[in-house]
Amino acid sequence: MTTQGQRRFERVLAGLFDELADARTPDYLEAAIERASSRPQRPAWTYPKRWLPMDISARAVPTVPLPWRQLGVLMLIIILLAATIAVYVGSQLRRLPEPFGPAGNGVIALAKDGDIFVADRPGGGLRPLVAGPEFDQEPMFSPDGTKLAFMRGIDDRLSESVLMVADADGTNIVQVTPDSLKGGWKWSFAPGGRSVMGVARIDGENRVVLFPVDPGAAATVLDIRLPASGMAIEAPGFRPTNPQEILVVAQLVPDGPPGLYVYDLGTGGLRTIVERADTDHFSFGNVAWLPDGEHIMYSGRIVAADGSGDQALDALEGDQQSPVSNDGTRIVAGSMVVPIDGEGKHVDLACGSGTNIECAEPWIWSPDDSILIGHPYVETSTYLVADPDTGEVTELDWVDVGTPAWQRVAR
Amino acid sequence: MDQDGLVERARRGDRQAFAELVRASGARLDATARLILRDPDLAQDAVQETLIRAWRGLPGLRDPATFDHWLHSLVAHACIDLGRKRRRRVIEVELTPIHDAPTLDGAGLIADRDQLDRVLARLEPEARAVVVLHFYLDLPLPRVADMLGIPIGTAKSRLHRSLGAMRSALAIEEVASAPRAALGGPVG
Repeated sequence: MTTQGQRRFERVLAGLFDELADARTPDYLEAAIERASSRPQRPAWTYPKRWLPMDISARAVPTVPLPWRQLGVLMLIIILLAATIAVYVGSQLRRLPEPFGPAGNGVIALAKDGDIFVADRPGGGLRPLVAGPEFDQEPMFSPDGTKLAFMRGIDDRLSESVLMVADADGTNIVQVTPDSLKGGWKWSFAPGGRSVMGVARIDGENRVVLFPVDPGAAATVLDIRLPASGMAIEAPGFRPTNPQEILVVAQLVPDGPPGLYVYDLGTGGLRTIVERADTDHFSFGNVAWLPDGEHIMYSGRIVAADGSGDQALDALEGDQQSPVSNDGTRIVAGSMVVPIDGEGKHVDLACGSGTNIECAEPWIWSPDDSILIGHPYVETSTYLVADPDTGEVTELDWVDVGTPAWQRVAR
Repeated sequence: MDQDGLVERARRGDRQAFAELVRASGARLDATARLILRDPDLAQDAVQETLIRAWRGLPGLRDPATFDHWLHSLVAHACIDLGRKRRRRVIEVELTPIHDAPTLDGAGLIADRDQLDRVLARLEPEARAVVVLHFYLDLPLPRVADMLGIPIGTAKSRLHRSLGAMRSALAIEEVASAPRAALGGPVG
């Protein structure tokens, strides 16, 4: 079926659903309301369990005094060995980019028909990277560009998936999350690519889980109380300048208001960034560190990492998706590229009303900030490439390749 | 009173406010449950379960503006739970995609809603939930994924495979009823 045919099919489908649903207030509704509201309301929910069950063991905080002298000698030997190896093969090692800030443009990873492909440029030909009978999707590069994570379906209906991590060239694939932890989501790499963090439902509760990429290493479930509703969950984020600190939207007390906090992996302490106890009408959305690691964006606002200077961004509306450029100076708001401080040139992207190109959101910045890729969530819509400096937009030939992931490389 | 005010009152245990909220959403809840479960009796059970979960869980809902989405998420989960329980009684039909049927391109294949009804019944409840939330409630896929607590890629693959199966099944039905084809004619 052609893409145009698919679009027509889906449009007609929506109309047919309305007909088929034949929505009318059911006869049983009043009785159902009566039965439901005759029960006591739940006063609170609790989080009694802290660690992953089954085949994952908890990582305990070491409390035994360490043999510093022996460790020192060992470290010295390791350093000497490393220095020798570095001298021997140093010229052959690939330079790595800084995990945050502008970088060089590497390959673009895409998922199509259950395999992972790469392209050298937007709209370029696809080369298989991870192919086989398994159903793989959602590729994601580590910030240093050395690792590639993706989700792999583990049942024949692909309803559940686990997280896999490979080297950036598709080799050395390892399963990071166990089969028992189904449906983990909102994954992100630690800056060095040595661990991944995401949200999973454990014993019916949303929890932040941290998995080392090394096979066999223990996973940790962080002692953070997340909102119960999936809709209120924001992806936890490693602080660019200190990966021991994790930005998270949490609830400190059951049924309490959600707030924006920084969790310290070393101490387990929470630092308050923003609490909005003044109103129940506020929800946190579009939460992310800015690349400088000193500021945080949330719900169309920016606040310093110490909680000061909380202010609205005029160009943004609440939870609107607003990807930030790698140099932290620009954001894409709708179909417009605007300076994050509001000062300077605004660039309209040439799509949407007044053009014959349908906009595709959200946009993804290239590592060097010179290109934007618009990727549609609807499989039959068209992928776009845009110049953030001129606003020129071009349609790409890619069809249904999921969310692109752009590799960062050294410049 | 506006919906936010009603949610506030319901959270504090006001049954009348809860009833008003549910009456406004009742038709859509029931329709959603019927679409996902394909059984009016089970749909009634799912709506009942949804209302119980909603009433009990209302104190934990912090943002009144999300009440509708929250309710839809509850009904989708209730349907999936009930659908799983009765799955062993469902006759599974394996659908093989048709890739080379040049006359089967486009929406004109959809004869009527009865065809859609039959085809929808062959999907798993988890897949039907994604399809119904996306196409009937018109929710964007990222929102559907969040509501069901699944990765966006999983939601996409469920939708993709469901649409493929539906296109194929509709095409098969169309071929099977060839002499009386063109029930709907080209649409869109």
